[in-house]
Amino acid sequence: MAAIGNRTTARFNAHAARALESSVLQQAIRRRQDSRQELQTRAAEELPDWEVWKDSVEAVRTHTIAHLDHYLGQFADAVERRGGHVFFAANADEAREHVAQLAREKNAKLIVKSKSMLSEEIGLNGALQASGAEVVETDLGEFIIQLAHETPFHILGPASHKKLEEIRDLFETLSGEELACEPRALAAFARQYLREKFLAADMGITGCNFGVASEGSVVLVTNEGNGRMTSSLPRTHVVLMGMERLVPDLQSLEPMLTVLPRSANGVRSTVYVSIINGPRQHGDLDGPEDLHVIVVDNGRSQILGGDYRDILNCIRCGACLDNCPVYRHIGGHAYGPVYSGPIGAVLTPLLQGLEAQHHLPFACSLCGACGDVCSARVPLPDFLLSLRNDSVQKGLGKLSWQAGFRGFSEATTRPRFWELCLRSARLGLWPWARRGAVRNGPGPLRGWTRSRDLPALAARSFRRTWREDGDSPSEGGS
Amino acid sequence: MKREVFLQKVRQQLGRVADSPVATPPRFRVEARPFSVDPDSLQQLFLDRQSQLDVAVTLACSRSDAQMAVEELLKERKWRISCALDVRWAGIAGCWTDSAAEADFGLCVAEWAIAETGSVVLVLAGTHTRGASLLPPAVGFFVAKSRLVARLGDVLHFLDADGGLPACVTMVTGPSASADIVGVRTVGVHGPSQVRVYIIENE
Repeated sequence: MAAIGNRTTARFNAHAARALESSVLQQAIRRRQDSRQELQTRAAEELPDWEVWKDSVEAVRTHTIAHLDHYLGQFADAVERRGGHVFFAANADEAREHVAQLAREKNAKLIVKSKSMLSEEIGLNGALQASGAEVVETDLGEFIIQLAHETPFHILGPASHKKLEEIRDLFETLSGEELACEPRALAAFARQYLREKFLAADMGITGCNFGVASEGSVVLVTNEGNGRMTSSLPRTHVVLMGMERLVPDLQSLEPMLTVLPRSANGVRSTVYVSIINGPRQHGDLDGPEDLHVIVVDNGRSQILGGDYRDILNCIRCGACLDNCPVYRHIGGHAYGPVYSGPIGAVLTPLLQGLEAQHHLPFACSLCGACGDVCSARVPLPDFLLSLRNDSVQKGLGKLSWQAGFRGFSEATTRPRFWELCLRSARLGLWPWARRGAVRNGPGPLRGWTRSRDLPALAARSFRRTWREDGDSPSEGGS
Repeated sequence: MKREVFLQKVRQQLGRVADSPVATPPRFRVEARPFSVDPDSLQQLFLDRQSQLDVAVTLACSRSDAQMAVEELLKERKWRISCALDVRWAGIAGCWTDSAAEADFGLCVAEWAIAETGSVVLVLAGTHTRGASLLPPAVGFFVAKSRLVARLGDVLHFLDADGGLPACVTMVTGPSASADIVGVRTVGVHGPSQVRVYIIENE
């Protein structure tokens, strides 16, 4: 596990460094964050009692999670009553294998998918492709990164880092034709290419924004229409649902569907909201013949019983990413292949184990912006701090880091030794100190001082000043 | 994994040994609205929203006026039409196709319209197909003025009270859109790029 932790930390550092050095990525991230922040603020301001709506989201989510066993049972009964099927998957392996088994049973050669972070989490595409099916991502952003063999850069804007020319090149390679380097022309090509896939697909796989326990409904919130196509046109519809996605009843949907689009895209409603209640009924002229809902645990029940339960309240609006100063600099890929930004920095260590992802909670300036904008009032800053504490308690992280803090602790509790350290440091850092700051410092200071200033130690320490001048009134001090 | 084993694990984590009764879910019905809710005010708000969404709106006195407006549009554009209507609406003159995927224009009857968001609500069952509102590049929705409601919660309340949900209920708010290519909004990525709403006064 320690080896995995070191690998993921190295991967994080490499991706973060790449993002910081790329002016193209920096521009793309800022473009997205600036536009989203403006839209989100405007949408929230337009709605009276915005904070009350968020209170409502928090209350409904907290209530649901506290009675999740009850609502999961109710949901499964209702889905089956409407003619659908429910499979409970304890982990990613079970979920992948069940969907692959369904694909084999249905002889599905072509599978279309709409965006689902859970499918990324369980690594579904690889399993389906291994079983011989062609899997096509149909969300425009997911389609782009599938062609580029990349992972999502943002939970809502998976291709927000791609340049126009890169997208044009990917589409040209696919089509074998020359395409105009213009968003509308490229979107038109995607429409035409994917339309043929939708009409020929044997199976459609979607995620699930919310499951309605009392009705067995699956709610999909989308803008492009690919979610509707995926859930309507193929004869089999498979839904991947994290087990925490439920709300108790239809009326509980109102706060979710009021807050989610405003927090996610700064709009009053997404273009499409579909409430799917089972497969097509007798007399329906279209819709899937079969509906299968896969309810996935994959580490969630472990979170349920611990101190971080409220993270399961998250409704995946992505506002924490759009307001995070760290995400603004390092982008999405540093956090790993699935969940990025503050939600990723909390959720990924909880799902995969802190040992493997102990660096993520440290990817945070503790500014608190994520907590302020969170649709469900998840205390993300508190969780990040608490995970750091867990990490230290478990003795995770670099040995040099731990040794450094142990040394700091020893030094600060011994006044004479501390004084000696300060004097030595003042002397030792003198060659690197310029105009009151240490720049490009030596050894362990290099990481910090390469891109930031470290204030140089004052010529006379506070303790010495206090000792020598303590009784004199200060000039202009308060 | 067996359902009971799965649920038992969840129960254990929640500190319970068996399913227990659950109180009514929390309700925060927010009553304050920044607009009046009389029918004319709702219609005006809905019209404002459609204008912001680039949706063309036709105000028709009656169902036959709305049908005539559609016929004129089909004639002018030489569009093939596919329909998600029940037999009451089948009298529209035009070039018909049974395949929504081949149609230029899809026509649907909306059960409700939501003023606050500018959405139309489709109850998709029987002959009210999903394809007609999704596959053609242009789509039109008939909605009665009397079916205009203030906000989403009203629709959810009606659906809840009705019982017997259809296989699919869909809310549509403007044309299909995406900003996945360098943040530039493009319409008609998968669904219709043109949306028209026909509000019928006396329905």
